[in-house]
Amino acid sequence: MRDERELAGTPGPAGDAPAVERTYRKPPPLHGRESHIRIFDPDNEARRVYGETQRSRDGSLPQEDDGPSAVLKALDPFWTRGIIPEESDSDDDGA
Amino acid sequence: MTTSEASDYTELINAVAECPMNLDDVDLFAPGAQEHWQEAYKILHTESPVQRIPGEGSTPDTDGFVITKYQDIYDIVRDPWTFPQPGFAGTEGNSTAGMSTEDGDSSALADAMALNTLRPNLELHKAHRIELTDPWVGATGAPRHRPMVTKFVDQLIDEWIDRDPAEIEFVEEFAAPLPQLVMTTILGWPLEDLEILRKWGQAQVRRFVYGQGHRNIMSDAEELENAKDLGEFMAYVQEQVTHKRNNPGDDMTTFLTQVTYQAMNRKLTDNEVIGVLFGMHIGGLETTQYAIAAEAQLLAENPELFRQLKADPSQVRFFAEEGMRIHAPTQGLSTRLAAKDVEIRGVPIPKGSILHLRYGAANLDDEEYPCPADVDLARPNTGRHMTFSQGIRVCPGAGISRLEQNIAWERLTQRLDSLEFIPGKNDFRHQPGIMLGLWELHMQFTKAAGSGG
Repeated sequence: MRDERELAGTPGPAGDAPAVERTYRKPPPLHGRESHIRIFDPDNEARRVYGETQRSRDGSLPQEDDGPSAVLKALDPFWTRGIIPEESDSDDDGA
Repeated sequence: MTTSEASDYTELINAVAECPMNLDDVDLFAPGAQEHWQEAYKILHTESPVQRIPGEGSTPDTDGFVITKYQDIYDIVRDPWTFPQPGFAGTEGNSTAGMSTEDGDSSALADAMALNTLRPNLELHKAHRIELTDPWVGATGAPRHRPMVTKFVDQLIDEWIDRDPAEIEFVEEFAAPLPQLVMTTILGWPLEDLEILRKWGQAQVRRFVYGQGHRNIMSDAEELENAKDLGEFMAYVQEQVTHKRNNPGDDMTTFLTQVTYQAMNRKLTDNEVIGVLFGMHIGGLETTQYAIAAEAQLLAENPELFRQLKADPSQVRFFAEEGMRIHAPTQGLSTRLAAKDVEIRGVPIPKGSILHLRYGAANLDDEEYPCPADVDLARPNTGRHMTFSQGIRVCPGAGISRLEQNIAWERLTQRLDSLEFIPGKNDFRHQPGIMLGLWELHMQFTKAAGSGG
């Protein structure tokens, strides 16, 4: 988990915030939580049905960093606070 | 939002619903229910986090399901194969009637524009955002609009800050016109057309306000009337596209007429440009209005919070996120289809069922946000709310909406010393439908010493 205090002075859409010392609680992890969704076809028929149109041409599945998230992350870590989980989230005890 | 000529919504607008006390009382889509959604969410979270709506799936023999828990929605929006959008490429046979898309296309509109939205699959959906909309309204492009947005914010404040008595109707005199001014400028359309553009904008969201049930279904007469308005709007947008092809400017319409779309290695047709512009117009107006109005209500309810933001403007960004979380402008959308048999929290959901993702409920899930109704500027997961949805179809205009809200409160808290309700003049009623929009908010204010007029 990165130190959220590093983000306090990050320029973003809200402008250049003063680099104040600020202590953030760690966001609770999302990845690694047990899902409450059970899909009945282990082969995931839906992916076969929709795979031709809904997955990338290289066959990969969308990742968290796909789309605007990667752009957001590069631009201003504030906006991804709690959105982009870090690998170390799995070791995080949460808030 | 005004009512239409063909339809009288007076009864719907004035409907009063009892506050639900138990699960049997909960009907999120009943007339008047919007005034008690927060209470209903508590009951649903505890007793029925996956609530079945019989017969309201993609076909008459399938069901709808309301999903209210944060983690379930989180998982669903990240699995577009098991839970695709109805009508999305690859879902042949699944009607889009009465459906909507997470990034702002209303259903009849989506039907009409489907071939022109340039997003027939996930890969192009991503390219569409990165190449076409992010540079203008996404996180990458929105920040360059800061001077323009600040100018409009100050202009609007100037119109009433020296008024005596110091009172405003905040929705009509600030929250509504700001996004109209900003989006019309970004699109490069004439500001003198604001009035008619507002009418067309309301037509674009009409089904979300006056449509029935979770699928926002309108009658044939309403559809016909709305189609007339949207047809006029389409003709207007075509005029703007033609004009910008001949008279380019520094605006999004011009950009779309000139850009070479790398994902397709070609320039866009007029119809494709119009499709993108339709989405920008519907997404950029009402929702930001609702967010700013709801945030004004939160500040008036918490005067200490107003003083806190005034003393430390760096906190405004966290306040805006909390405002959007607690009062999500789009409370829910029926934008996902179960493409196969699934089970969520033990509730069987057959293939073909429609899932109504209740973003507003997820934002108030106390498993994700302890004391969810409280504004807590130090929440560790502030930016993780569901107001813009998440995953690959996250709202493309989140950047510009956030920018407008941030600048609005940066300037308002600096130019005013207080912003309070006018006693006895507010009923805090919201419009019907699946969007949470205050009709009006009567406020009194104190001008800050040294604030320009």
